[in-house]
Amino acid sequence: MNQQRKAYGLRNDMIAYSMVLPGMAIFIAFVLVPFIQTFFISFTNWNGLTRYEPVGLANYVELLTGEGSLFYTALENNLFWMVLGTALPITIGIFQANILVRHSLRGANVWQLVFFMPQILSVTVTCLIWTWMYEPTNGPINAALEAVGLGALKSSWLGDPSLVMWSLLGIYIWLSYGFDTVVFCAAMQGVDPALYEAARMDGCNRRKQFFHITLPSIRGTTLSAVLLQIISSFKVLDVVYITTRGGPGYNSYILSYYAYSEGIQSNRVGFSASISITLAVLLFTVSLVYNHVAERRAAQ
Amino acid sequence: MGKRVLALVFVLALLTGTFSSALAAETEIDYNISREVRVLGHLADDARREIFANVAAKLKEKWPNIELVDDSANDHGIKLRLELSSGSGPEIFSVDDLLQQELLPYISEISDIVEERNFVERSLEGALSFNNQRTPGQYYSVPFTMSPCAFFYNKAIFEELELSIPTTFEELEAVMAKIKAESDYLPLANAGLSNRQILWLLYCYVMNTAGIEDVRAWYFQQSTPETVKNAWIEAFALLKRWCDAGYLGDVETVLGIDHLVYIANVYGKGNVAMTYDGDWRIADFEATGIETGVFPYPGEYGTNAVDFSWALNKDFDNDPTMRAFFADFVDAFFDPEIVAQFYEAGYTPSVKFDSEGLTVSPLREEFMANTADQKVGYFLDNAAPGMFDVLTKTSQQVMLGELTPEQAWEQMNDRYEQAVSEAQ
Repeated sequence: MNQQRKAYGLRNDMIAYSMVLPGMAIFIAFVLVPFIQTFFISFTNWNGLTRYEPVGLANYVELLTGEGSLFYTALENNLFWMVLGTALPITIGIFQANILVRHSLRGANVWQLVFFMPQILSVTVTCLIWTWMYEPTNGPINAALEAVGLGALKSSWLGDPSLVMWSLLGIYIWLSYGFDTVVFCAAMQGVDPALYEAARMDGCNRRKQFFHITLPSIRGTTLSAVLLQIISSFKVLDVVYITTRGGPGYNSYILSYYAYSEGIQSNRVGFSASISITLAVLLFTVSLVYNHVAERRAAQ
Repeated sequence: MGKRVLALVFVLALLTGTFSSALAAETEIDYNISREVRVLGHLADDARREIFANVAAKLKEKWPNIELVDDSANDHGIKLRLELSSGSGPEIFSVDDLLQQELLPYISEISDIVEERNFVERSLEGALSFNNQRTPGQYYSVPFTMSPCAFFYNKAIFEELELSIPTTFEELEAVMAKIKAESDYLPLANAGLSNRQILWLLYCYVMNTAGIEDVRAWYFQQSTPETVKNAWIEAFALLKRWCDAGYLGDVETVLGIDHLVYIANVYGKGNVAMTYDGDWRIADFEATGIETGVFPYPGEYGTNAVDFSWALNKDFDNDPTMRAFFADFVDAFFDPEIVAQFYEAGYTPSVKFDSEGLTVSPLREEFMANTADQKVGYFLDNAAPGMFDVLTKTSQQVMLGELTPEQAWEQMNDRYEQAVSEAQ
């Protein structure tokens, strides 16, 4: 009997593994192997063309302690991006989803599609359009401000060091809040209507229903969305590359652009790999801490 | 005995025949070879693709079975590095001087072809040696295009303010000061997101201040003369002075302008006196409808470098057929019909040619006439990999007051020294 059970279990396991195998193969080939290669390259002085030599921890020492290293400048910008690039799209997504789902807005499905549109547009085209919109001499944003009597607010959105990160964040939020809206719409649609019914009968207004029923009910989705947004905010390269290339000066320099610049423009592939690995470790650490805190709060 | 002698003669004949065939195969050019030849260049726009197509048609006469494939791309430098390092590189590709230095292990030496076809004498003075100065006595590429720059100025503004074309650097500064003092016009336009216009002016200043020989020593990574260091510091100080004087306008506004649209959005508004740009933007200046003139940087040297040159994949070091095809391919770009087409499309060939009778716009004619005496100079950001990005950001930081000229030099030089030590 036990042997029969074991055989049955083994057969089930084999079937399960065979289902997972294609995905695992792709993961290994396109994620794990390149990651391991990058890890080893980060300990070399490879320029991408000729033979390389191992240099031990020299790349990491230069990155973290070198006088000319831009790591901390880029990290500061990345942390700014992480915090606001996570909080704002999530907040906007929850707020919009609540209006679409809970307030029975007519044409809610159409609005969901409209909000999701930035997701399906090419990031390159989007950023080029935003660069034009932010253009200080002829861009429509400054023109609109002038037209409504707010000419004093006209700015050089990508040229002013104090504004550039906010301007880029604006592009990023525009690109990502639609996805969060759709995700939270789906999550809110799954909340049991009986809960709201019961709350209404107890005299709960909409605001209290939102904070005491909606938000707790979509907690799982929120946690996942926040984690995905954190990861996404660290990976952003295209927005900076197409608009400012990290400028003016180094005021919008981020770690992924640093890795690109060193690897592709300066042919310092080994050093670029060390930036990528450091970024991955940073991201992994942030995700781990976040998950730990989230799980502890859930347990409480 | 007789049989043995006969056998020996037979073997000797067989061996001789074999070696002869091998030798003949190595030196024989097969004009009927049937193969694809992929060319990875930067000729990615419609006009230049058409020129390439005409070159391919011309080559068909002599090489009927070779299929020339135009694989040009705007990011061809990155593509080249990846393909050559992975062993799947194109047969022929274009390189600038820095790219040639990086990719030298993958490029075939073609000194014999250059000598046989007389490319040095048939090109503009200094053109062949430009890309090949890092390998004295050896040629690895043959140029076909230049990238000259000059001042484009608003003729109406100059006339209104009774300004003369400056012939010295001091006169240039005097012109800008007068424009600023006596009008609301902006003396000098710049597109700050890339900062190219102002960077190219700084290069001109350095070349004409430090002396071209010292600049060459620095550019070709031989040494960093004190004259070059001082010239760079002066250039950054000059930039700050111009910004403080308002010659470029509000710094933050300038830094927010995209170079792709600045001619239309800034110069095209008609209240900018001049800007410094390349001949490849002539059509954009003409499109503004503003009567525009051209004058060169007031110095012996301007940013007028060889743009790109043709190189042959090192895989064909000992392949006479491919080397002969490459020679004919390059030679096609010296063909008067192709050169004329290139010139009339708005580009500056690096070959000697007679422009009489060719149809170009008045602005293009003025550009060629007024820059004819300016000597070949360098885009100094090509001194080492990554320098363009560093120089862009360093110059932006100087404009914002984040760096002093001395700090700017230190930052720039640190990157330069790092790149030079890694290249060695």
